[in-house]
Amino acid sequence: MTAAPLLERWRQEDARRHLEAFLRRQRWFGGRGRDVTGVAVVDAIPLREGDLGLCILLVAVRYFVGDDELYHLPLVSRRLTDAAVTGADDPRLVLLDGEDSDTVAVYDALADPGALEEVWRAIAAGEVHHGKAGDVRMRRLRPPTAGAQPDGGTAIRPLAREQSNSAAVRGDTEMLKCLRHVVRGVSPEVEMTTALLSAGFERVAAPLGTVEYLGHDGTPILLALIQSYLGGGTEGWALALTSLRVHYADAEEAQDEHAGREEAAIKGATFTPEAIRIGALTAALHLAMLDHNLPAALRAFPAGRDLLERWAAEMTVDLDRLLGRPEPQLDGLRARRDAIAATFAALRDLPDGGMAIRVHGDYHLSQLLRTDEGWTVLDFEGEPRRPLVERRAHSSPLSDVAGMLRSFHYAAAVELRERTPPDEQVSEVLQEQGDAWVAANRDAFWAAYTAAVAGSGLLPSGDGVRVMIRAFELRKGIYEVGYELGHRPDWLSIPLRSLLAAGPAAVAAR
Amino acid sequence: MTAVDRTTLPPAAHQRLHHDPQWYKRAVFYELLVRGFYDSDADGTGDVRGLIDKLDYLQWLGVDCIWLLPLCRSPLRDGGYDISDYYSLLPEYGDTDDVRELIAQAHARGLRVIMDLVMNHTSDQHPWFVEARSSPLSPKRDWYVWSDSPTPYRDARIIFVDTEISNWSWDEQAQAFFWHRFFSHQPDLNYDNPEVRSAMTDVVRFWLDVGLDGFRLDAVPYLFEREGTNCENLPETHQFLAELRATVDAEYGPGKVLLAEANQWPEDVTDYFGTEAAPECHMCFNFPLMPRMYMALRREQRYPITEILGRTPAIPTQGQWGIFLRNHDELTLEMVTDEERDYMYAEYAMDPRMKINLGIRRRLAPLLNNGRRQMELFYGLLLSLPGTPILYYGDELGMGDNIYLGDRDGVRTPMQWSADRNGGFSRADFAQLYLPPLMDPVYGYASCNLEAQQRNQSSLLQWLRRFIAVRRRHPVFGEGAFATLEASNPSVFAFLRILKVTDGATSAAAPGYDDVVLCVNNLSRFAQPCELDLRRFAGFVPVELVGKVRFPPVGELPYFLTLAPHGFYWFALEPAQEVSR
Repeated sequence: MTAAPLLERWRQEDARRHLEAFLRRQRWFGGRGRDVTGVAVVDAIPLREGDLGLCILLVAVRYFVGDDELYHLPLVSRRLTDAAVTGADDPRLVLLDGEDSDTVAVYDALADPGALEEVWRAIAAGEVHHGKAGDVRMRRLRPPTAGAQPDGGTAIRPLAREQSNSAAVRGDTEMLKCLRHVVRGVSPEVEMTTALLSAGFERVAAPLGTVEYLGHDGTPILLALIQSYLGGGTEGWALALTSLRVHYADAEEAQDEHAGREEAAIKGATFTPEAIRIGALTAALHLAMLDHNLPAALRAFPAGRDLLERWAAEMTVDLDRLLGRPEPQLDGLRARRDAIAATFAALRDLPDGGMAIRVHGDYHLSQLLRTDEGWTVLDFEGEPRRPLVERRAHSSPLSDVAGMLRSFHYAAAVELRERTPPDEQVSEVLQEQGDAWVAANRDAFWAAYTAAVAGSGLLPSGDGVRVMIRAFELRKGIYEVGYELGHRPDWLSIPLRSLLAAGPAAVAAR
Repeated sequence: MTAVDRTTLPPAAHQRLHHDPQWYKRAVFYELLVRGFYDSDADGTGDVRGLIDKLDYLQWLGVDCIWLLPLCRSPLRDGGYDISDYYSLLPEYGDTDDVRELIAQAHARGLRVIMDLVMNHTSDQHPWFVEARSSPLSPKRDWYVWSDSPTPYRDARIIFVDTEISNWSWDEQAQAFFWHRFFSHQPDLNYDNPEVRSAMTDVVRFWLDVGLDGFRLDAVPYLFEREGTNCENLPETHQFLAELRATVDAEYGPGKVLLAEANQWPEDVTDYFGTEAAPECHMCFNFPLMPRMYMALRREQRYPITEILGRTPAIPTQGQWGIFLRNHDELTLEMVTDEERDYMYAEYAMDPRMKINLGIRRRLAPLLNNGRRQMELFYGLLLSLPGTPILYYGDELGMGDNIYLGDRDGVRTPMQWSADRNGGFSRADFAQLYLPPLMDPVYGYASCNLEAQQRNQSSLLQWLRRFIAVRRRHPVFGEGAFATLEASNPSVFAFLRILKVTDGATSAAAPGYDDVVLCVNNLSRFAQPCELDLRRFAGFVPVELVGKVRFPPVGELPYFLTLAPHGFYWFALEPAQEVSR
């Protein structure tokens, strides 16, 4: 028996109560702390029957305020004695049914390697399963990697939970990414990585298989995705913080008056070789998106005056929406409103805006993974809080560039907060050193990027580059202020400091 | 110090040296400058008999092979790498009989001896060149590379960029340009001439007959020149080396070693091992690894090291890398990118005098700010990374350098034996010494010397000796496969060394099991946590190699370790049943 009939057999209200309680225990659930008015099973699609029951649930969550959310719950049902969950208090458990040795547990399939093995098998076979309102379609896009790590085998292990998804790794070569909060429409992740690979850009996690829900209305919803697993490695963010840790420690030690002059001359551990590599990588990513053979929806086109006009208008709307908020911390920014709006308005005077391409959309140091082979770009889903249609919109490549430039500021500021300088003077020195680190890496990244895209037409001609990068960086800063106000008020000073300086130090102006 | 009596060799001396064709794979080498090691006759210059006096020390330290910098007759305009007679020693070092004695005494202590052999060029004072330049009709004329203009082979880079502006120099007497890849007083031999190839092969035979265990082949990538190439790593060069190897194997049997100095990128260096069918050199230096170790330490992250190791192709089974922290040359930066080179200069050569050519002329201890923990970490890496470690004399004490001396002399000052006059190196007058010994308060012989460190059980020297002994107990370090373990903390460099044990009796673990060693290194000056994915060793017990301390067994969860600043661990992974025997 799969979980679906089991849930059906329970009185509807009870089943919903169990599902809501389960959801509230999950880190990836966006409704924690919100007023949930209803949980409804939209569709239940059985994949396996028998001792190991497996089904996919689509659950709609209604809120008192805000739009509905749709969640993807792959569930397994097994006799409790065989189950991967331990008992009634396991956070991965949805419900227990029956008594004694007949007790059946219904729980998160991501906790059960045996169930995940079935998922891999179903994807390899290209299975299709029918629900009430649509079908689950599984597809294998690429064959398994030959010559997988000899000792990895095909063992499956769940990965530590990420914030928005769950994941499991098979044989250290493939990763199943299970999306939780799912949306109707084409997934940018599969779309972008497929396009990039076809255009010869290989520094991405290759999509190997998909699990899609195709509603009877024809709208696809991506539920899960198999990608090549980039084992180990270090996130760009962690590597940048490592560099900054050394950099600040050096600067602090050099403040010692007894340290020799030679010692004081030692510079911090540089990140610029990595910034240069990231610049070249970003350029290669964007240049690949100029490929003429991409599907029509992904093809690049010139960013004409109409698009520049629209970008300027959107940026100004975002700015004024933010400044419409009552928080007094925004007063300083309010005083600079016209100067910032003028920067956006300057887009309207440009003769051209370079190319509009499908961008990464949420580009920062945490989206990059460093391995011994170099850097890889991760997560093409775009900024998670934006609607899908916006995430799939064409934009200037400079929006990604601006994201990375801002990320250097964040890294320097976050690592600086970790330190407790002994006095005000050292504190100032560290701030200066942080700024120097940011400037060096911005310059290195920018120089490598612009050198690599030179002559491609990707960027606007002449002065336009300078005007545009300023605008896109300010836009990013405005987004950050809004985000920090809502989520991390402690960090508000990070974007504000940049915005309140004479605008972000625009690299292009150097 | 009493000179060793030539008649007092221990009985059955040669039996102390085990017959082992692949001895170099498990060995620890010790590079030294006879000139700077020990002066037995008080003339201010070290000599072969002085080295014989000090063999007991090298045996005590636990090394297996001594690599001697050039000993042949030379005008010494390039530290002896400018040879004017391949068949005799520079008189102040002694004579070939002394070398025979040295080899006999070394073998009696289980030590092997190899010597630098400069193949690429001679001194301009070598009779061959003197004759060659005298007349275009000279039979030796074609032993060197001549040209009427300085234009051929323009794609060949200049190596000594500080002193040379061209690879061609005009010779007044010859009325022609001669080719030289190094100094302009070091004309390159013409390997296209079969007489040259034959003459150099005879040189090899001569020294093997004297009893040497092999050679470090200096500057091998440059033997041949071809228009339109960069004149490095040419197929002709490889063919000659394969022939030389075949000659050595045929006439002297296995057990001799050829160690190539080829300062090239890993993919090019590996060609010098040759193939299984046509082997060339037994060993090659891993040049790119060394500067990256310093880079990784400075950046507190492993990627500079793991990246180059990942880029290093597999080598033939008989081959072995030679790895080192420092040597008699500058810290070479030829095999790093320009960007990385600028970085290395900025980090490690604060004073412009420390720079030379494309490198940094400093010793290990000053490069690491004399940090004991950093030095231990570096020696830990040297003794555990894939390859045969090569120590440089004096660095086992943490000796310093003298950057005010010319060229690379700053790292070639006398060995510091004791706090006695001249650091115990020589009874000569101070003014007579070939170079002044170090006398500064930190690195000078008064505070940094062998005698003091031998007496102090917690000295760097004693520490290193213990770790050499640990390495010796585990052949996996010399012969095992290497695999990086991906730790999410970039400051932690963890790797496995794995040796398939065919003969259960030799295994440190249970019979039939692999000999597996786990090395975990903290490249940061701060304490670091680390989680390692050791699931494939679930149930195994990590046993720390030095103290034999058993750590908690490996389970399904990531294995958690904390590391002290610049700390490192070596563990044998032993099967669990060992616990309850």
